[in-house]
Amino acid sequence: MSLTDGSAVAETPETAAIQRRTGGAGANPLLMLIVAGMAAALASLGFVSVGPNRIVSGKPLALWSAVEPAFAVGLAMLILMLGLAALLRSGAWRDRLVSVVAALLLLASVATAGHAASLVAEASGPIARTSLGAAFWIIAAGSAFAFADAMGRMAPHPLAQVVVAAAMGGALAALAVSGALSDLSLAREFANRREAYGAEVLRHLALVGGALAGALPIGALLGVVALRRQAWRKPLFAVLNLIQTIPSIAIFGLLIGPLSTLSAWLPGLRSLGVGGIGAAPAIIALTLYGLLPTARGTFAGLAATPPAVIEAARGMGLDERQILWRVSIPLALPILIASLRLVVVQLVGLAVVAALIGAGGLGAFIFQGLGQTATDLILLGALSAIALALAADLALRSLGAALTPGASS
Amino acid sequence: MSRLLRLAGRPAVWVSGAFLLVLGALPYSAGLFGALFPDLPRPLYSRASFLDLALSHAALVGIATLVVVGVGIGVGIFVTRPVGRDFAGPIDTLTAVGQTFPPTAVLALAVPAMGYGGAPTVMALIVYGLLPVVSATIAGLNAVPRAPMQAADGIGLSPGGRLLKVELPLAAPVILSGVRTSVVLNIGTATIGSTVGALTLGSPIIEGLSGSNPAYVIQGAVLVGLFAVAADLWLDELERALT
Amino acid sequence: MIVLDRLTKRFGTTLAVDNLSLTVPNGSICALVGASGCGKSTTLRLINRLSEPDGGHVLIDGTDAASLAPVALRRRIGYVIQSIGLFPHWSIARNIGTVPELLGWPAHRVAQRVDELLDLVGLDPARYRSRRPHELSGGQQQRVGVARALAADPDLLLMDEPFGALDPVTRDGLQGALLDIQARTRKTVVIVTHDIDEAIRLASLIAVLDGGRLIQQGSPHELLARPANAFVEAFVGGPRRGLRLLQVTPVGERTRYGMGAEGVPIDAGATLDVALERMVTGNIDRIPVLDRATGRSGALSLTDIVAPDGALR
Repeated sequence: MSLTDGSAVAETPETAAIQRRTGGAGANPLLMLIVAGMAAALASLGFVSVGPNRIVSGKPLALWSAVEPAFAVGLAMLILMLGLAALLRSGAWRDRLVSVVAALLLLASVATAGHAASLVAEASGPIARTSLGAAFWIIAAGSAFAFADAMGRMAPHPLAQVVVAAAMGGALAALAVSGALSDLSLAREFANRREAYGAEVLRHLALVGGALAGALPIGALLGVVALRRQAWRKPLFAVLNLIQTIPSIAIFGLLIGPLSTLSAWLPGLRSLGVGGIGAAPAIIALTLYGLLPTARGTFAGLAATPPAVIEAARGMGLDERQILWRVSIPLALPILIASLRLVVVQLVGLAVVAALIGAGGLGAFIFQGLGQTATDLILLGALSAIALALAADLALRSLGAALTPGASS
Repeated sequence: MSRLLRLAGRPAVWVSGAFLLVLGALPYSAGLFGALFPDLPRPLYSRASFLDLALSHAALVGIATLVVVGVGIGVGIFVTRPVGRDFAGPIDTLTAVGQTFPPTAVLALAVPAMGYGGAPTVMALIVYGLLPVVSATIAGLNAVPRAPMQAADGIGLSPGGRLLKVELPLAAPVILSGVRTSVVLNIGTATIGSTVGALTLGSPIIEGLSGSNPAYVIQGAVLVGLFAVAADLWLDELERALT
Repeated sequence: MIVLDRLTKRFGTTLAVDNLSLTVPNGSICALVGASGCGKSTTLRLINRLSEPDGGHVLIDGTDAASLAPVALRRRIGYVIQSIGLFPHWSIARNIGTVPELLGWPAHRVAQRVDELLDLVGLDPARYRSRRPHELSGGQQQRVGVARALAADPDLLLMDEPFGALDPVTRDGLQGALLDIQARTRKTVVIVTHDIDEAIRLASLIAVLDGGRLIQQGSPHELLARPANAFVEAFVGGPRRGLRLLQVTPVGERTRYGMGAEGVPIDAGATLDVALERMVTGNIDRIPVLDRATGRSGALSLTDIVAPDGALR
């Protein structure tokens, strides 16, 4: 009696994952909660907010007042459908239905907001600004979450996830390119900085890429050192952990002094662009941050090779290099790629801060926006940084899945 | 007594001591920074006292951590109980996706919602800090071995008693490591919080960066660095005491 | 011929192998036996230089192993371990073909060799060659482990408790397979085991180790009949020594040729335990014996088994 009780509750992560995938037998309470939240938001909060200009914060405008009834009803119908889907018995069909309806709802809410902005622009002229309102954000976030959750329940292959994510991104991009969104304040901020935007995205990627170029080889080397020299392991990871603990902006700031002194002494460095402010301290700091996850991942991955396999390999006459390249690294690949993903996502996030020391990147928009109290500029920077991090995460997840076909073993 | 002595040898004690020392000495260091940076008209940050900055920084992180620990562990417990099992998958998705968000972006997004100041900072710290605690609580509770759970049922503990007496104590080290991650992350994010108007140890850094005053940057950076390392080391001590 | 010449190996202050000398003739199976920690595995690892001796030499067909490059040496020696250590990310075929591939054999010859070896260890090549290790049972995995060790046709095979982790039925099957393979290929085998029954069944030469020292070496019969001291006596059998001795004594040794008996004759090459079993189950005290090699026939009676001359020989 107690045994069966115990095993029923004490589930392993695997059984939990299976449970999660198959779900309970009944309705989806979380989705119902989300749909109720969306409905309440739509009824009580502004779908967009309209202000006289860029800086003055706008007044909320409910969906019904913002667009023609047909649009409002359409959106409400989609929310209703999602609510009905939540009542269905769990299963693959419900998940498919939820993912399709949620995707449509996300796209429709974006398109409706764009349409509302166009109506405002027609009525009040080009200086008026239409920002996205609280109800929009709740619907967009709720439908995005419902979509992700339904996808998670269906557990498609990571490569399929990339295709789906790319299709969603493509659909949003198509909406944007068609001009349907161009009267939204967010789009205007983008349009005003079209060239700067591309440049800052590239700078952001360059910062991350530059840091990876340093952190990956050095971190991997440190990981191997930690594996081979047991005495060095603890102090090494203690130092790397210390670096991670210190807030990024402090390291960025502390590097400015030494680097500007260095470039003052060595004019050659200055001509290479190494100075106190700018990309050099940012890349150095990001490299330092990247060391710990890289070294830890390398160490954990290589240490995970079963000792018997190494013993057998050595006994068969594989030399140390052959053991590393033919046995340890292929076996460690899933862990190595997972830690690469961690490093890249972390660095994409930290590179946002680099804008504070003049290194540019997407953080530049965020901090400009904060300085000018320009909400939509903040959004432009923050949403772009989030999208970049998510894209990197998804890309590396699928790379991991592609490189480890026998992941089940 | 010997325990106190052993504690005195801990890095956590030294680093906290160093932090307090620097905090106490900085107000009297105008001469030092004046000598180091002779070109600066005001070599010592004076907009607010360093003590106020430190207290405000600690309060922001402390309030956020209280909420994070309460809510995060609660959510973690809820989704690992039979009643909350339906929510386990979605929460898993949410924490996995949420942790890829750049913390600074989360902080920036709090501004359109809540304006400037300490409130959006605390909000962002709570939202971002929840993720590692929730996932650590779930991981810790799911990793409790089956045998002690069965033994707990066997001696007739109620589900609540089993949670309190068996599951949580066994999961505590993992949960605490999640809290540690959350606190360290949040100390860093709170530093950036001064760009949205919160008073933190990041304020001298940000002001120093925008006003080309390297002395301010150093003052803020040294303090916040010591603060973060001290907090990390104390949580490490706590983690060790629990295992 | 493998000659271990005054081998010594220290770990810190403990002597793992202490001045050990042993000669293993070509084509024989030698078992190193002893309790755990007696130095038998270390001795094995000194042969293929996974461990380097602190003193003494290993001579393989007259060549000092120390004079060869360790990696090249190991490719000439098959090595099988208890935990098997198949490469989990490779197919069975690629696992078996590792050393031939390292030695630069052409692909078709490697493939041909892999199939040959799978046949030899009793696995259907068509069925198993492209599987992954985790799809096989423990016994099947160790069959692959043996095939992998034999891949480059080494003259010497080292086995470190190869069947220790398997259940008794599987172990019995693999021991039979090993005897069969050895009979067909005439490899020299050095096997480490703590299971005296396994040593008795497989080996023609048993070396008993204790505390890194060689206590006694000899044929299974010699060890059972004349243990050098109480330790060996306890190790090789204790209360079961007499029964084990029957297992290693041929019927022909006790047969009275020229005498007759009723029933189906037993082969003179069979062991006494088989004859005793026939008597007990047949409720008889005398069975006919036929020596197929010479054509002579005779009889074996119960008293001949128990004490032909009044003592264990």
